[in-house]
Amino acid sequence: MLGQFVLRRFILTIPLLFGITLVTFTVSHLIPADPLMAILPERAASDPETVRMYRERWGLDRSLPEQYVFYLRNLLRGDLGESYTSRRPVAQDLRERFPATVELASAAMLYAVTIGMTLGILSAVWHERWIDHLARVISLVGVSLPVFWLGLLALQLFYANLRLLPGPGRIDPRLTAPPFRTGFYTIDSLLAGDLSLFLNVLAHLVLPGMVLGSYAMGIIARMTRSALLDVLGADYIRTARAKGLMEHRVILVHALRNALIPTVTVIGLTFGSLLAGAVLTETIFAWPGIGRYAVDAAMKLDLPAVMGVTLLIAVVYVIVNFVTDVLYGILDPRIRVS
Amino acid sequence: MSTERTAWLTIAMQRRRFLRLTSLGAGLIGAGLLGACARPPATPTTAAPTAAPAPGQTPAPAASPTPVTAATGGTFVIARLTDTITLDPSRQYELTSPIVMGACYERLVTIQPPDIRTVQPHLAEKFDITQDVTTYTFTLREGVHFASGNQLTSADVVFSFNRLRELKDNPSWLADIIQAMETPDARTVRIRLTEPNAAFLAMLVSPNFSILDSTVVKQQGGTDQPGADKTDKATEWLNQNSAGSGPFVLKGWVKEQEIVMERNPNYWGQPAALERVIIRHIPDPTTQRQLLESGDVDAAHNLDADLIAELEQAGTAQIVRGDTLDTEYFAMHTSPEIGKELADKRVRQAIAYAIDYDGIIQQILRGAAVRPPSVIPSGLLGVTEAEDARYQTNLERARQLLGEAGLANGFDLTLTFSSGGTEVGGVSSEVLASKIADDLRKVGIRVTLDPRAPDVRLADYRAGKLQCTISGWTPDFLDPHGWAIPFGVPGEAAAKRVAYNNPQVADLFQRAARTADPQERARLYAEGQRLLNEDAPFLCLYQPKAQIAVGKNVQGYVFDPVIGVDLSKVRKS
Repeated sequence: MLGQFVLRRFILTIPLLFGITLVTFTVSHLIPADPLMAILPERAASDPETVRMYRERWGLDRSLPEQYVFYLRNLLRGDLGESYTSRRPVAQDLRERFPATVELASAAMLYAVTIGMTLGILSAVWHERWIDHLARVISLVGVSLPVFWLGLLALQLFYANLRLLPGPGRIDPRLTAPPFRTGFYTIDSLLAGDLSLFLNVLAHLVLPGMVLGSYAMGIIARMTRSALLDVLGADYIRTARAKGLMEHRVILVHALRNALIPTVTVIGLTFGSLLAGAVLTETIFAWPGIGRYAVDAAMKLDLPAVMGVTLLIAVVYVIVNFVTDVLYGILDPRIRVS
Repeated sequence: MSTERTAWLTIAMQRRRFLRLTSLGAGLIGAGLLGACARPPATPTTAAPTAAPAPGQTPAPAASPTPVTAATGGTFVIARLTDTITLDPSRQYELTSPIVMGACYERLVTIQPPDIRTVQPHLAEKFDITQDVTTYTFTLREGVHFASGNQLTSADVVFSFNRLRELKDNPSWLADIIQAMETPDARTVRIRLTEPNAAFLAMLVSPNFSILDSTVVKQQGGTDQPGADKTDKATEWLNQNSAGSGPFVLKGWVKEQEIVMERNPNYWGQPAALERVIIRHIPDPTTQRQLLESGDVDAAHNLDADLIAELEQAGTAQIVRGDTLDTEYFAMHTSPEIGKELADKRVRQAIAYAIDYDGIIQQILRGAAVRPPSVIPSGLLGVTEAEDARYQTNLERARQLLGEAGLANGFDLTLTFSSGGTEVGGVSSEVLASKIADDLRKVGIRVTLDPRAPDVRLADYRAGKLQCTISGWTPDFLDPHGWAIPFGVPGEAAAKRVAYNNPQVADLFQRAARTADPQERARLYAEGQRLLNEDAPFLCLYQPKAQIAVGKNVQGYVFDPVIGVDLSKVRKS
């Protein structure tokens, strides 16, 4: 039953991904500017021979449909093309950068889910008491503060002034990166057997993780609170209490499970946005992730990089949605059946 | 299932255990911090001073060796926007890579900033230039060896220059002028050019003319043969390692994160004081400042004028200044079809008198710029000689010239600029364009500002479609030739864009390139600039200063317009 449901959801994603490549390709190639003129240095751009050579190298001399077919064919072989600006395979660029983003987004999510759900539960249980008001203020602040401001402020306070937490970057500026194995510094440092580097990496995740996760934390806290409040008013909760169950069992086992469905949706969607939308956090914290890669690529008209990163983010969203759907199925058997 | 699933929440709800959990978390963070602080102590340098540099030759004042005191060693961290594509000396053409080229590789000749006019011998102990400036002969210094231990010979020079040309990459055009190279013996290289060119010596200062260890590069798949653009495979290795003779060796590069260099223990000359240099990618200027003030980095390269002013006031860093060779200029189309009123020389001159140059430098750049008389930057040959040709703001004269051109009531002008763009020196394109528009309105010229996407503006300007615009120029090499030709000769890069054509100017600049005597060259360049300024198709607005903040314990940090900084001279106390 569950297996069938998973398979059905999976098959649906294939036309979706195909559509995404078509839309991204069309939109990015409709820009009324010549990427070569934006990328080549003075000398090369004024030399027709060099321009022709690059046009040929990057397939820009072909018609758009031809270019698209060419792109798809390469894509099926796992080749995302060569980035105009880094002159390296886009796949390699993404392979190096994506782990940094995932590491940061996971730290942010860990923070957002723990703090957000705790605040949400506390507010719902002690509804309209001081703890509820405090939790609501915290979540409101988390949702409303612009990330770049929060990031600069957090750095100034915790790093520059109090010296409590390390500054920007994935490791201390005077240390050097662990040898590349997975791209996750947490894992690579352990694989290299360097415990002090591992702890350094963890410490460097705290501040950007909190800054990036603050918005998600606020949303999750509010979602959990309102969903739990709804459920707490339901008849079966009254029944559970009437049966003499301990209050914490009523809330954490009976109420929370039903309240989790909207929360899981929000968690899934915000995780996707954390992966794609961390540009500002990545800039302030000198974090070499894919958010900044996407912005740089778009600014420099680096079409293969734009396509590659869009596709990656789309795939991530599809996977996150897929996992969310499956989780619904687990949480609520009714969804599995319908 | 549900009990297990929520078990952690149950635990968390029990207050005492919850507190214990959080304190564990804090402990972990604390441990991380300790780990961060517990850096391995910098091992004291053991490298005994090797052979002192051979005595400086011909024009070189004997470089006074920096005394290596007990306070040597340590890691030097530079915070910088690392915009580089490759660290292969024969391919790199970006802004960060020259720092690495300067540290890990060496060239036949060099400069000693702030004097950037005198080209001095380096790997070559002397050079000999024929009177017709067509044949250059270099005698290599004895006893120079690469980091690998291989002797540096004339074959390495030939390999490096051939490879530069044959790779057909962005900087390859620099070597196109080389017709033939001969190596009579292991210490002599004779280079014949395709045409007389007095700028060639200065071109050799460029990082692209670094001398590579041909044995090592060939082992890594490198070649200098025709077709190298397809067959050469050494770049990937050269991105992570170096094959040079410089005081440092490249240890690795993680894109957009770090470039790591270590002291070359085999260096043939005075060893560097620093043990390790890391160029770290920090895109945000405010973050760069925080890192510098916290002592986590030793130099911040991308601070804007406001941050520099704040640091200076706070006294928390030293500010190192130097002249860049970047120039920002105002370009006016000289044809009646595109330039319209600007086709009249007097109108262009009126504009030259109307612009408030001092205001631009003082208000927009906070004084961190100079203004050379023409588009050729200050510091180069023939620029001080052309001082008298510099325009000074004079609104009265501007109005008078407009009157003579029959435009006493002003006219309409469209000024195109990069929307959301940045000009050289980090100035907002919009701010600069608005300032010029304001200045011109004071003499009755009605300016319409025309913002276009940066790449669109550049493409339109390159196609010669704009009435007037503001644009920047960054140097290719250290000689006025690099500006005189593109700006002064019809059909060349910049002149073409405004349809500028004055055969007299072109002739002066081309003659200068063929002249061996520096004084005569300077005179020709000055004369050419005078005529160019009288025609006024281009007006230099400013030449920004580089402003770098370094830690208070840093010594010997001098800005170098070619390699950024000579890291071998930098020390920390």
